[in-house]
Amino acid sequence: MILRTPPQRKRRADADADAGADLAGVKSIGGVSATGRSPVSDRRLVLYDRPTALVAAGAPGEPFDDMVCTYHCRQMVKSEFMVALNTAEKQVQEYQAKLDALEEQLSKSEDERMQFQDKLNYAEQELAAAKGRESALQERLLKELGDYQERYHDQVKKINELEAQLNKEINSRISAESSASSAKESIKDLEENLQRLSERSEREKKTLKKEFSYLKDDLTLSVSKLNAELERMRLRAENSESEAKLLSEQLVDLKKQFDECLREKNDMEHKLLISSALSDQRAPTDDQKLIKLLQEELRNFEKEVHEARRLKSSHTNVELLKEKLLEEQGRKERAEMELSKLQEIEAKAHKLELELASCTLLLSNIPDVSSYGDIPQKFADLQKQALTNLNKVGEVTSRLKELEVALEFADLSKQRAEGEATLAKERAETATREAKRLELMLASISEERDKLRKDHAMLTKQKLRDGDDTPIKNMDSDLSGMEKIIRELESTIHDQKELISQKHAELDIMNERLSLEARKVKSLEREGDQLRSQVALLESKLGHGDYSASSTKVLRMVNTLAVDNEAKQTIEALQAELKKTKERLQAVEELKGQADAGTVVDANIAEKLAQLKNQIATLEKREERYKTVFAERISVFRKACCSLFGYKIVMNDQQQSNGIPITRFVLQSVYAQSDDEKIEFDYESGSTNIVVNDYTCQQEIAQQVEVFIRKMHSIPAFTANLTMESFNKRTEALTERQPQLEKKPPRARAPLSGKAVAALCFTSFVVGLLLSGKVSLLPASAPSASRYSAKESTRASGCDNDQKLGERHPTDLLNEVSRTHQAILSLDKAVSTLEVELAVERARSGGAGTAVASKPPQKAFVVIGINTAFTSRKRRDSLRETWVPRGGKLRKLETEKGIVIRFVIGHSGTPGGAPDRALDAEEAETRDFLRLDHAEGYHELSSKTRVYFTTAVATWDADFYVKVDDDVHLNLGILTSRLAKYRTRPRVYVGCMKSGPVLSQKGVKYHEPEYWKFGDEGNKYFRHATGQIYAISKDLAAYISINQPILHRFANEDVSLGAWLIGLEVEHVDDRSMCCATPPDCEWKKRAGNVCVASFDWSCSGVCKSVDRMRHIHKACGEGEGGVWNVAI
Amino acid sequence: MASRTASKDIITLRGSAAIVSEFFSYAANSILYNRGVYPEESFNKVKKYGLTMLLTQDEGVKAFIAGLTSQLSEWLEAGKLQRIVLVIMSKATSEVLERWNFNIETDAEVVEKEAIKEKSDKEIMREIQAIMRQVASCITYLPCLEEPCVFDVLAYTDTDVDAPGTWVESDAKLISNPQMVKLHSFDTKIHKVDTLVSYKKDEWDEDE
Repeated sequence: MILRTPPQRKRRADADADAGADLAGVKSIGGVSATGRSPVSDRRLVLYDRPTALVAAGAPGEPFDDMVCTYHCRQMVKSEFMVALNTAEKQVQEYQAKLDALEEQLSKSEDERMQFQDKLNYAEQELAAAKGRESALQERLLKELGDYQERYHDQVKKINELEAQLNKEINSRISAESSASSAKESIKDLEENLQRLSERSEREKKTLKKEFSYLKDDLTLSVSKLNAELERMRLRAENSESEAKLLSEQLVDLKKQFDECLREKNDMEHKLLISSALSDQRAPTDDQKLIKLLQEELRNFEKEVHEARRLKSSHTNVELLKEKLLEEQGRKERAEMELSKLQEIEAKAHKLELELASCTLLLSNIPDVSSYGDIPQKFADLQKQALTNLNKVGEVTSRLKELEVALEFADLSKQRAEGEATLAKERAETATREAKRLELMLASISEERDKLRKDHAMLTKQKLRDGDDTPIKNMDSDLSGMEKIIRELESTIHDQKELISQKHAELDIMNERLSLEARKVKSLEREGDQLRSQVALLESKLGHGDYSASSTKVLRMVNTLAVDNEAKQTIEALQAELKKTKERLQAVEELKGQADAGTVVDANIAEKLAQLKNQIATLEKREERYKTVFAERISVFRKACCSLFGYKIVMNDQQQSNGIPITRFVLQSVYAQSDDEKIEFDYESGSTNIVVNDYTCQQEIAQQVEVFIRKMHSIPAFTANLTMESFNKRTEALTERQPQLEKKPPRARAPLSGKAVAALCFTSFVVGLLLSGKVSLLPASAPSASRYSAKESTRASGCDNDQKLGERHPTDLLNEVSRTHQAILSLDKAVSTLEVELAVERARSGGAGTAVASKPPQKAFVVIGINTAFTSRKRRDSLRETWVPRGGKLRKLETEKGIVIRFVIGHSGTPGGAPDRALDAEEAETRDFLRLDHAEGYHELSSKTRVYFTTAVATWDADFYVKVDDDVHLNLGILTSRLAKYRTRPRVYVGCMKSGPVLSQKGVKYHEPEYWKFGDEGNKYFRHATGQIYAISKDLAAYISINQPILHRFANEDVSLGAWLIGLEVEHVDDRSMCCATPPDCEWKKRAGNVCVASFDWSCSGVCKSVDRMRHIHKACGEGEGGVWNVAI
Repeated sequence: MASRTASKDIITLRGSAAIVSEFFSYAANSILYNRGVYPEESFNKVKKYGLTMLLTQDEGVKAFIAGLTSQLSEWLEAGKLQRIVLVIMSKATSEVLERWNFNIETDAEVVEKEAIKEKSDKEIMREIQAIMRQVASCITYLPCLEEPCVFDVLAYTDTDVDAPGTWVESDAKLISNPQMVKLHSFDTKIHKVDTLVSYKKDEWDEDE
C-alpha cells in the first residue's frame, strides 16, 4: 500500500531539487540548505513526487548517500533533476516572455509617453489659448469695469438729480401743504362769508319784512285815505243833492213865482184889457217893478248856485286828488328804492358765487399735488367740506331765489301801485273833467240866466204880448243836466268803492304770501336742523360700522347650523352611498365587459394586447425550445465532464437554515464501488465547502479531507486523489481476479494520470462553478430535492450517449437565450404600459362622462403645462413674447412637432366671477389655455398638479408631460431633444433633482405641516425634481391619473410628486441643464455649447422680476429662432 | 412652488391671511364662550397664543366656523375683506345686541406685488394674546345677555366680490345709538386688525 500523505521531509528534497536546478550542483546544496526552500517548489512537489520522496526519506541530507543510491534512485534523482531543469527552462521562457512583455510595455509606455507629450503640448496650447481667453476676459472685465464705473457715475448723477427732485418734491409737498392750509383758510373765509351772507340775507329778509310792513301800512293808509275821499265824495254828493233839492225848491218857488207872474200877467192882461179901454199907463210900471225884483232874485240865485258848485266840490276834489298822486309817487319811489336794494343783494350774491367758484378752483387745484400721502386725506376732507359748503351755497342760492321771487312779488305790487297811481291820475283827470263839465254847466246856467235876462228884456219889451215859455224849458233842461251830474258822481263813487275792495283783496293776497314765506323760512330752518342732526348721526356711525355702498358690500354667511346641517349630512351620506353603489355597478359591468374579452372598452388596445400576448407566447415557446436544446447541450457537457474527470456532478438548490440560498454539488466517482460513495459540496458565493456525510466520515477519507482540504485547501487534489484511490481499489479488485501482471501498469501510470486527473478536476470544478452561475436561468436544470433522484438516474444512465446537437456552439445558445429573455422582458414592459393605458381608458369611459372622454386623446410628443394664476397676466404675456409661440405657430408646433404648450389654470372660487370672465376674454384672444376643474387658490398647488396630469393625460396621448412655472425661461428645442433621449425608457422622471430641508417651523415659506412624517428634525426630503420644471413619462402620468384620488398631497407640490414616485420603479434622471441660473450663467454655458433647458433664479423660485427680465434672458440664453423646428423627434 | 430654505421672520400674504383667519376663529370661539351664546360645557380647553383658549365642540358651530375661516382666508389673500363683524342677536326678536367689529386694513402693495414683509411670529402672537385677554375681560362691562341669543357673521368686502354659495348679501345689522369700546389691535404688516365692540345701551343705565 502506498502512503498518500506526503511527509514533512519531502520539502527538503524538494528544496534540494530546486537548488540543484539553479546551481547545477546537487551535492553542494543538498546538505547545507535547510533554509533555501522556496514555497513554489513546495507547492509543486505535492503533485508528482510522492514515491521518490518516500524513498529519499530513508536517507536524509547526506550527499554521499546519493552516490550509494541505486540505479533506481539515481534515475529518480535524474528525473528530479530533469524536472528541475525543465522547470528552470520554463522559468527562463517565462522570464523571456516577461521580458518581451516588459519590452512591449516599454514600447507601449514610449508610445504613451509620446501621447502624453502630445497631450502636454496640446494642453500647453490650450493653456496658451486659455491665457489668451483670460486676457480677453480680463480686457472685457476691464471694459465692463469702465462701463460700470461710468454707469456708477451716471447713477451717482442720477441719484443727485433724484435728490434734487426729492428736495423739489419735498418743497412742492410743503407748498402743497401750505396751499392745503391756505385752502383751509379760504374755506374758513368762505364759511365766514357764508355766515355773513346768511346774516345779510337774514337782515335782508328782515328789511323786506319791514318793507312789507311799511307797504302794508301804506296800503292801509291809502285805503283809509281812499275811504276818507269816499266819505268826502259822499259828503260832496250829499251837498250837491241838498243843493239840487234847494235848486228844485228854488225851481218850485220860481214856478210858483212864474205862476204868480202868469197870473199877474193874466191879471195884468185882464187889467190891460180892462185898462186898455180905461187906463193903459198905470199898470206897466208895476210890472216893470215886479220884473226888476225877479231879475234881482234870479241874479242872487245864480250867484248862490255858482258859488256853491265851484267852491264846494271841484276845487276841493282836485286838491285831494293831487295829494293822492303825490302819495302814490312817494310809494313808487320807495318801491324803486327796494328794487335797487334787491339789485345790490343780487350783486352781492353774484360776488359770493364768484368767491365760491374761486374756492372750488382752489380746491380743484389741490389734487395736482396729491402725490404725497397726507394730502389725499386732507384733500378728501377738503372735498367733503367743499361739498358741504356747496350744499350750503345751494341753500343760500335757493334762499336767494326765494328772495328774488319775493322781489318779483314786490315788483308786481309796485306795478300794481303804479297802476293805482295811474288810476288815481285818471280819476284826477275825470275829476278835472267833471270840474270842466261843471264849469260848462255853470256856463250853460249863466247862458240860461242870460237867456232869462233876455227873456226878461223881451218880456219887458213885449210887456203885453207874450208870457215866458223858454226860460222854464231852459230851467227844466238845467234840472235834468243837474240830475245827470249827480248820477255821474254816484257812478264815480261806486268805482272808487270797487277800487278799495280790490286793494283790500291785494292786501289779503300779500298777507297770505307773507305767511307762506314765513312758513317756508321755518321749514328751511327745520331742514337745516335735520341736516345737522344727520351729520351728527353720520359722524357717530362712522366708527360704529356703517359703510358706503359704493365701495363696500356686506355679506352674511348663511347660517346652516342645526337643521340644515343634518339634512345636508344625510344628503351627503346618501350621495356617498349612491356613489359607492354606482362604483359597484361599474365594477360589475367591467367584469361583464371582461367576460366579453374586454373589447367593449377599447377594441384597439385589447387587440394590441392580444397581439403582444401572442408574440410573448411564441417567444416563450422559442425560449422553451432553447431551454430544451440547452438542457441537451448541458447534458452532453456533463457527460463529457463525467467521462473526462470521473465524477458525476449533480447540482441542487437548497436553502440554509438561515434562509440563504446555496447550491449543493453531489459528486460521485465513476469508480465508486457503491452508491453511498458520494462527496457533497456546498457552494455559496464563491466559496466551496465540503459537507460531512457518511462517506466522508470513513476514516481514510476523513484523513484525506483533513490533509487536502483542511490543511492544503485544495478540493481538486482531494477529488483527484480520491479518484486515484477508488480506481486503484477497482483495479485491485479486478486484479484479484486477473493476473498479477496487471497490477503494475496502473502504478506506473499513476503519476501521469495523476497530473491529468488533477488538471481535469480543476477544469471540471471551474465548469461546475460556471454552471452554478447559470442555474437560476434554467429552472429545469435546478430540480427540487424530490425530483433529484430520477433526473440523476437518467443522467447517470445517459452518461455515454447523445451527441445530437453537436453542430451548435453552446455560447451562441446562451446568447440566444439571453436575447430572447430580454425581448420577453421588454415586451412585458410594453404589456404593462398597455395595461395602464387600458386602465386609463376604462377609468375615462367610466369616469362620470366628462366632455374630454367623448373624443379620443390627441397624439403628441410632449405636453408642456405652464402653471399660472389669474393675476399673472403680465407674466403670461412676457412668456408669449419670448419662448411661448403664439397663434398659428403654436398650432403648427402641435401638428408638426407634437409639442403642445398650454397655460394651466383652474377657475376662481366663484365660478363665473370677474377673474373667470377676464380669463375667458384672454383665452378667446390667445387660445393657449388648459382650463382645469380646480378651484384656484383654494387648495394647495399639489392638487392642481394632480388635476393637471389627469386632464393632460385625458386630452393628449403624449410621451412626456412637463410642468413648468410661468416665471421660468425654457428652450423648447433643447427640452424636446433632451426628452427624446429617454423616449424608449419606461417610467422616467426628469428634472433637476434636489433634496431640500423639511421645514417644521410654522409660518415660514415652504413650511411642511407633516414634517413629522419625514423623520427627525433636521432631515431632508427624499430626492425629487425641483418644482420650477420637471417632466414625467406617459406611464407615470397615467399612474397619477388613475390613482389621483388616493395620492397624498403634501404642502409643497414638487415634494408631493416626488413622494408619489419615490416608491415606484422609476428612473430618476437628474438633468442639471434644467436648472441653470439667469444670465450670465446660462449665457456662458450657451457660449460653451451647452444651451440650457431652463433658466431661473433659485432665490426667487423662478426668474426674479420675470415680467421685466424675461425678454433679456431670452435674448441672452435662448436657443434662437428655429431651434425647436430643427429638432428631430 | 418649491421647498426651499427661508428665514424665520418672513411673512407672506398667505401666511398673514392664515394668521388673521385663525385669529378670527379663536376670537369667535372665545366670544361665544364668554358671552354664553353656547353652553359652557360644549367647549374644550386648548393651548393657543400662550393662553388657554376654549374651542366649541358643537359639530354644527365647528363646521360653520371652519367654512367661514376658509372663505375669509380666501378673501384675505385677495385683499378684498374690509371688515368682519360677529353679531349677537336675540333669538326671539332678532334684535342686535352686540357687534364685534374686526376692521381689517390690507396692505395693497403686498396683494399687488406679492411682496414679503418681515415680522416675527412671536410679536404677532403677543398682540393677539392682548386682544384675547381683552375679549375675555369684556364681560365685566358688557350688559348681561339675559335671553337666548344667536350669532351671525358679516363680512364687509369690496363690491366686486361675488357672494359665494353659502353667502348672501345682507344689511349691516347696526345697533341704533350704540355704546362703543375700542380694543387692542394687531398687525401682521400685511393685515392690520382693529377690534371694536359696540353694544346696545342698557336701559337701566339710561334710566339713571
